[in-house]
Amino acid sequence: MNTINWELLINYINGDCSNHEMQQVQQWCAEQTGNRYLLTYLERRQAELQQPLKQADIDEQWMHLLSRMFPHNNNTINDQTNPYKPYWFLGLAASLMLFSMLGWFYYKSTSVNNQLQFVQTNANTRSKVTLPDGTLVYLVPDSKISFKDFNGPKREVNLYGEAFFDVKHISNRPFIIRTTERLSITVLGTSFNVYVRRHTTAEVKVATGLVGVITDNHTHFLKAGEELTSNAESHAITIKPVIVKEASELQNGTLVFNNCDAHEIAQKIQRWYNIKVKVLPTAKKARRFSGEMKDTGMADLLNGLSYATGIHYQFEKTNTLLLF
Amino acid sequence: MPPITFAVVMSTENTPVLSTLEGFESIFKESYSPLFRYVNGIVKDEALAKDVLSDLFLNLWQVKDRLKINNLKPYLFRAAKNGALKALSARNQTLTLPEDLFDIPSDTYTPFEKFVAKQSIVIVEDLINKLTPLRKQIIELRLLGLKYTEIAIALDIPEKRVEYHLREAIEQLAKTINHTNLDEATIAGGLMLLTLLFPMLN
Repeated sequence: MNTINWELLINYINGDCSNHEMQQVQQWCAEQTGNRYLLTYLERRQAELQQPLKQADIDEQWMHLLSRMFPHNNNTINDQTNPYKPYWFLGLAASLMLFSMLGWFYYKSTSVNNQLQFVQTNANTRSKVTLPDGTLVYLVPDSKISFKDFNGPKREVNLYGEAFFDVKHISNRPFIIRTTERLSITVLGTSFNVYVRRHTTAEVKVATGLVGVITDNHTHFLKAGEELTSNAESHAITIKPVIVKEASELQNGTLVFNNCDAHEIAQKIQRWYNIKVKVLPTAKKARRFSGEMKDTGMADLLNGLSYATGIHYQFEKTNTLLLF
Repeated sequence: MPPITFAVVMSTENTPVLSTLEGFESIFKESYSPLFRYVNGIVKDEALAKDVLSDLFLNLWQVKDRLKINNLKPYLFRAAKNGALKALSARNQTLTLPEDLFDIPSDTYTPFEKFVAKQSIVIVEDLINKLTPLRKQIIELRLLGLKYTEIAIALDIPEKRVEYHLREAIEQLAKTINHTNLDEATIAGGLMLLTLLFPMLN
């Protein structure tokens, strides 16, 4: 015959005892009110202790821990000289376009906070945007980012296309990029390149800091100098090394070629300038090219590449570049 | 405590591997809530509890390669308890378990309940709060769902002692309840005597 003890009461609370034991406890409770209240206390204490915290709070603590595990180094864009000097006019045009678009939005909306704000580049423009938190975003042509309220605990943007992000480090306010291809990115303060277009392998290249890439509820962590690709159909993930300078191409306005053949050069030009590039078989025999080329215009770039690799180029009527 | 030999923690069981960032994240997210509740019970300060856990996991990440842990859960609770006490001592300059550890919070019973059963509740609170800190800890960890062996590792005591404390008959306390009633009656009587005596003394 068991005596009433803590173990028995706790088992009773968990429904983890025999019928006989259950009766025993109930009898004991009936003996005096003090007993009943002791049992109540244990029930409530257990409920308190086993109550899980909100997932959002736990995630926040995790992000905070990550920033302690991988300390952020304080290289901000302010320290570097403006690499966009050659783009003076382009930058002005883009800013004007940006201002007029945002101005239109402000005019249309009564309260700005809950309105969707977006920046979009068309086929020919590039854009450098500063978000309300100080984060810098460099967009290639034909890309779009949008965001709503930037004052909340999370800073969220949606991205379609390609952009380089230099995220301002703010403790406890993770920066999250959502894309259409079931890929989202969470950071605290880092810089990295994201490329997401329909029916194409998505890419994330990290220049500085630590980035968490979430695909199908699985988080992959990338350090500086790492690249993640996600296959368009299979969503298979690979992580491989990448040259940091290549990851920060957009920020520096410099194209980085790493032993590229004609096909890879064509791909790079296509993405950078948003122009269709066709490669004829004769170009494939040309020399591979490694090097950095500052973007001072497509003509300069092509001339330089041509000199280095022997590839010839020609523009066709349909705004297509031909390499041969 | 004798050194624990390293067991293969990888694919034989379904425990996440400590050494990868992914595994570490799983462990963090799964064990965060109970650890938080436990630490908060000791320090009674949510912000401080978060700091204690942050330090705990940061330290764990830094030493993970040198660590040989057989059973992770009790290890985490032990580290959490030590961290919590350290944080308390930094505040209060005391290195021992505080007497009010895991005391019944004053809002455990509803106002109605307090009205109806005031006396009983006072006695229950008194009894719980008078338990030794060790026994209170053991009960706390048991309510968190830890098994005897895990509690023993977490508190660094023999399993037999855990069993002893949890199997202690509460009948004893029931007797104390009745005893207390008697004592109160005696004291009440004694006080009355004093008040009667005073006027005479003056």
